[in-house]
Amino acid sequence: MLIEMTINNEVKKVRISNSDYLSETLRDNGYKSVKRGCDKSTCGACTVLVNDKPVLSCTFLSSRAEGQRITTLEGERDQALILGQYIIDEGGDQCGYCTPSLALTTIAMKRELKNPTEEEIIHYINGNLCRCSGYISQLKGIKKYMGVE
Amino acid sequence: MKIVNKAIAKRDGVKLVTGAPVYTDDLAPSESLIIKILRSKHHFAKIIDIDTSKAESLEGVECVLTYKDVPNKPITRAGQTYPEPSPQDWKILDEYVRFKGDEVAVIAASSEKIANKAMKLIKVDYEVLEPVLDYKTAVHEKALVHPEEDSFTHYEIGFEPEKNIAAKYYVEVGDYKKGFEESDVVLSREYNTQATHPGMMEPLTTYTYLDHFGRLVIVSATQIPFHVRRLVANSLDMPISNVRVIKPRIGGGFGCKQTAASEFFPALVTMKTGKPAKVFYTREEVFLSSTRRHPFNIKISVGATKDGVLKAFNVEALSDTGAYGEHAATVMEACAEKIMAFYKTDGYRFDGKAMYTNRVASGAFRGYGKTQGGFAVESILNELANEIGMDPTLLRSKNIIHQGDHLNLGTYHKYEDDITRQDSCELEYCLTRGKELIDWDKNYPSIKVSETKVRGVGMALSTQGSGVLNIDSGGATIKLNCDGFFTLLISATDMGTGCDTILSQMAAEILEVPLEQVNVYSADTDVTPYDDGSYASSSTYVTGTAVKKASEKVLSVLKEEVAILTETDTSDINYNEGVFSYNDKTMTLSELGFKLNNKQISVTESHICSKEAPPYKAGYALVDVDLETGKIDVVDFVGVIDCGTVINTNLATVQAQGGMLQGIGMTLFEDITHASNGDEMNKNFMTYKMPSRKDASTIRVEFADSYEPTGPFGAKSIGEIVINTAAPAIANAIFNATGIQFRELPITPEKVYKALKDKR
Amino acid sequence: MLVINKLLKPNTMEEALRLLKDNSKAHILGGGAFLRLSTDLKINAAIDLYGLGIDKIEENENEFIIGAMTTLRDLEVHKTLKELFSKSVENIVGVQLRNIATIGGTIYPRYAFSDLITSLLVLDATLRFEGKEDISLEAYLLENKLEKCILKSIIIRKEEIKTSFKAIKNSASDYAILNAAVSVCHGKYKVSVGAKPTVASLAYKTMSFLENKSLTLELIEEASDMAMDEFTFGSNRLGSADYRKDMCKVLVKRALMEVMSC
Repeated sequence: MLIEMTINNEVKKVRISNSDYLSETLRDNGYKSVKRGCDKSTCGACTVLVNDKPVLSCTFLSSRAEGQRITTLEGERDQALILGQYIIDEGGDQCGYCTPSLALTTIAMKRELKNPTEEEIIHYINGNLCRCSGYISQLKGIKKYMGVE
Repeated sequence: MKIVNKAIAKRDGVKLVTGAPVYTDDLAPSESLIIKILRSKHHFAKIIDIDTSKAESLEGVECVLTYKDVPNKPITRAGQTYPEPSPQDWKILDEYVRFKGDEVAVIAASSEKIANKAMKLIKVDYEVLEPVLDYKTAVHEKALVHPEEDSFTHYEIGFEPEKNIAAKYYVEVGDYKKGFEESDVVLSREYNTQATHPGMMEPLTTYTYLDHFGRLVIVSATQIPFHVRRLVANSLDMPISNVRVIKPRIGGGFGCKQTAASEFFPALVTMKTGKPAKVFYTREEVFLSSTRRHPFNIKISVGATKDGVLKAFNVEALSDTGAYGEHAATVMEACAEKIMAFYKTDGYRFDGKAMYTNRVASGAFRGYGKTQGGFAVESILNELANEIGMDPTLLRSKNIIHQGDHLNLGTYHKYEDDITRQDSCELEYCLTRGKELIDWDKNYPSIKVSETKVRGVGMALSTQGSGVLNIDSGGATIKLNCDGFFTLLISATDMGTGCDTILSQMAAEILEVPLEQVNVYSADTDVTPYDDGSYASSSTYVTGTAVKKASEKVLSVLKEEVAILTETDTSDINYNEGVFSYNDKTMTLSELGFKLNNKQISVTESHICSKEAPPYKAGYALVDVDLETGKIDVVDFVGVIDCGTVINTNLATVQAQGGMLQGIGMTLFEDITHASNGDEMNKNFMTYKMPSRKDASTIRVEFADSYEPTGPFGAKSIGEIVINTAAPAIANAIFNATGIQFRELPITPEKVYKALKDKR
Repeated sequence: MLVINKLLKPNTMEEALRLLKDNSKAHILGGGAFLRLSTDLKINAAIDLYGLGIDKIEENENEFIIGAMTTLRDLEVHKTLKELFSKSVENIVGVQLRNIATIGGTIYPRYAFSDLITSLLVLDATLRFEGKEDISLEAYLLENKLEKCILKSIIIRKEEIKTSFKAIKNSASDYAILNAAVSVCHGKYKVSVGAKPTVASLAYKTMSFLENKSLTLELIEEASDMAMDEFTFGSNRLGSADYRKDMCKVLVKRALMEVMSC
C-alpha cells in the first residue's frame, strides 16, 4: 500500500506492506543513517524520531508511520555536525556504526531535558550500545553539547 | 613532532557522525539479489536428501543452491598468511552439517521476504548423528566431528581428527623439572574461560557483482581483503586474478571479520547467476555462525622459592575450537608463546590441544589466546603471592623482565638475540604507576564499605604482540599528484581503530606536509599494496613501518627529480616543509607536481615483522562486593600501557577504554551457555549482555613514556592488549575482598553468593 | 520474519473488540515491543490500537486512569506517577524501547520477567477491559487464560502510600533474576515478588503478619524470612531456584528497609 508520512519535514508517499518495519522502509528509501544492528530491539542503532520521540525503528511498523513526523539524522544535519564535532574531538567516533543513532538520541535529549545531570544523560542514552569506545569519550562530547560540566 | 603523538581527529569522523552511507550494506546496488541461508537445526547430521524444488519455483526466487552445486573442496576460512596454519576442513556447502547454524542451502531472491519464504519450503532429510558437545571429553568420544577423508593441513600442526584434535602445541623451554625440584612452594590450579563474542555493532555483510570484464568483485566488511580474495577464489575453483576485494567502512571487527564467512555466499550466487547479490547477517546469525573466543581449560602449576622467585611453570591447556579449526593452532600457539614470556624462570612446559566439537566455530577475538592464558597465569601468580604471604605487586617486581632482557618465548625456534631482546620495556614502570593510580597501599587488600559491602583491590600484568614475527607483512604505496598532494594507498583495514588516520599521520610527518595533503585510501586488492590486514595488532607497527619506508623513499626520489629538473646535484638539494631549496632557489611540492605531471612518481614499500616488540600493560581493579547478593561493581579500573610512542593520543586512549570495558564484560557479564539439549542460549543482545553505558565503570588509562627503536616513530601496538588483565585483576580484587578465588569466568552474582555462603 | 496477513485499524474500542472476535488467529497490536521477541511470527489479522486515543494518563480526585497504550516512558516521566513507577521501568533496555512498550502490552500477556507488574501489584490496581468485567491486577494474574478482550485502562487508586522496588540484575539493563516490591498504606502492607521465574504474586502470610505493625529491623528480618518461604522458585538461564529463594529474602528486606526510612 501507498502511505503518506513526513520524513525530515518533507511529505513523502511511501510504498509499504503490512509486515514492514520502519527501519527497512527508511533504508530502502535512501535514509541510510538508520542502521540495522540487531533487529531485536536491543542495540539502538536503528533509532529514529517519531513526532520528536526516539524510538527503535526496527520495532515500529511502517504502517504506523502514516501521518506521523519521522526524523532521521539526515534531517538534523546542523545539529549532527555540532554534536559530532564534540564527539570527534574526544575520539569517540570509532567505527561510527552506533554514532548516527547516538547523535539522533542526543539531539532529542537536548530538546527534552533541561539541565540534566550526568546520570540523567547516561540514563537517556543507555539504549545506544557501543562496542568500540568504552563510552567515556562519547559521554564527554555529549556533555559538552548539552552544555553540562 | 607536528602530527604524530597528537590528538588528531579521525579523518572519516565528520562523515561517520553525520550518518553518511559508507558501510557495505549502504553501498550495495538496490537491484542486488538478497541472500538468505538455511541453517542446520541439528548439532551434527548428514544430509541424506534435500529437495529445493518448491523453493525454486516460488516467484521471485532466482536460485537455491546446495552442496551439489559447489565444488566439493575443503578449504579454510581463516584469515592467515598462506600457507594457512589451520586445517582445511570447511566447504562452502557440505553434506555434513557440524553445528546448529551450519550452512545447508543458499537462497537468492528479489527480496528478503521472498527469500525467507522460500527458505521454509526447502525440505531436508537428515541422518542425525551423535554430536560431540564437551571439549574436555572430546578426545575420548567415539563420535568424530570430522570423519571425512579429504580434510588436510598444509603442514604439521598436530591435526588428529580421529581424536577430535584440530591442532596441538607442545613446548619445553629450559628445565622445568629442575625448576620444580628447586621450588619451596608448588601450586597447582585449574582455570576455565568461557566463549565470548566480539559483538561488533555491524553484522557480517557482503555484496558481490561482476564488473565490465566479468571479474568477480567482492565488497565486504572484512579485516582481511587479500586473504578473502585467495580463499573465495580457492573455494570456487577460480583463478585468484579473477577476483577483486574492496573494503569500505567497517562497523567494528575485533577479530570476528578476520575469518572469511559472509563472502562465500554472494560470490557463489553471482558466479552462478551473473547478477549482483548481497547478504546481511541477522544478529542471531552473527552469534551462531560467525566465530568467537575459544573457551579454554587450563591446568597450571607454578613453582617458586619462599622468597617469591619463580622457578617453573607447567601448563596443560585444552581449547574448544568448535566445528571448524580456523585459528585453532595459532590461538594455542599464541597462548603458549607469550603468557609468561615476560617472567624469568628456569623452565616452562606447555602442552595444548585444540579440540573439535559440534559447536559454533571459535576463531579470532582480540587477545587471541593470551587473554585466556593470561587469566590462568596471572591468577595463579596472585594465588602464589597469597600463599607465601607476599604482596602480588612485589612478586611481579621480583620476576619481570626489563629493558635489555629477552622475552622467554614458549617456542622451540632459536631466535637471534636482536629479535627477542626487549629494546623497549616499561613493565616495571607500568606496574609501579598503576599501583599509585589505584592507591594500592591504601586499598590493599580490602576496605569495609558498609555492613554489606567490601571493597577489594587486585592486579595483573600482560603482554601481547605487535604483529606476528616473520609472518605479518604490510605495504604502503605513496604517489605524488600534480599540485603536490600525496595519495597513500594501504591495505591495513580500519574498522574504527583509526589506522587510516594514524598511518597518514606518519606519512604526513615524514613528508612534512599538513595531514590534508595526504589522501589515504584503503583497501582494494586491485589497487592497494599487499597487507595481511588488520589483525594481530600489526597495523601501527608493521604497516606503519612500510609507510615510514615509503615516505622516506618518496622524498629521496623527489629530490632526485628536482635535481634532474634543475640540473643540480642531489646533494645540493634541501627539503623543508613542502619546499625544495637549491642554489638560493626554491620549488614547492605543488610546482614540482605540475612539472612532473607527465611522469607518475610512485613508491611502494613492504615490511615484514622482524622483531618481537610487544606492548605491556598493568591492570589494576578496585571492586565492591555486595556480600548479600554477590553482585560485583567495578569502582575503578586503571590501565597503564607501554605501547611505545603513542601515534594518536585520543585514539589510543579510546581504544584502551573500549578494550578495557570489553575485558570487564568478559569477566562479569558475557557468557554463552547451553541448554540441556546443547542449544546455545545466548544468541542476541537480550541474552548476551555486553556492558551498556550504565555498566561502564570509571576507566583510567595512562601511557608509559617509551620508545621502540624498531617501530615507526618508536611505536609498538595497542589493538589487543587492552582487553587483557581485566579478568585476573578483578578476580584478585574479589579474593582480597572475600578470601575467595574465582577460577571460572564469568564471575556472576550467583557464583559469588554461593561461594560466600559455602564459606560461612 | 514477520507476516501480517490483514492489518486492521479500528476507529473505536468496540470496533476493535468486534474485529478480535470475528477474526481467527487475530492479534492485538498494542505497543508492538513484542513483535521482535520471536524470530518467526505469523499474524492472520493484526488489530492496531495505535491512534485509538487510549494512550493518555487521566486523573480525578480518587484515581489515576492510565490508558493501556501509555508507554513505559510516559509512566517514567509523569510528574506524579514517576515516583511509583520509575524504579521499575527505568532500566528496561533504553528510552527508545520505552517509547514503544506499553503498560497494557506488558500486563495483558502477564509477562513473568516484568519489573512493572511486580511494582503495580503492590498498588490498588484495577484492570478495565473492552469485553470483560473489571478485575483487580491481583486476580488477573492468578487467572490462567487469555480471553478475547482488550485491555483499555489501568486504574490506580490514589492513596497515601509508600512503595519500594528492588531487583537483582547482573548488568544494568538485563532481565531481573528476581524482583520485589513492597508498599504500605495505612498499616496495610503488600509484598510482591516476580521473575521467580514465574510472574509476580503476593506474599499473603507475610502481609498479614506485618499488618498494622510498625517496622523495625527485627520485624523486617522475620518478615523477609517468611516471604522467602511463601513462594516456589524455579531455575532458568538467569539463575537457580536456590539463589532466587535467598535473594527473595534480601530484596524484600531491602524494600521494607527503604519503606521504613521514608
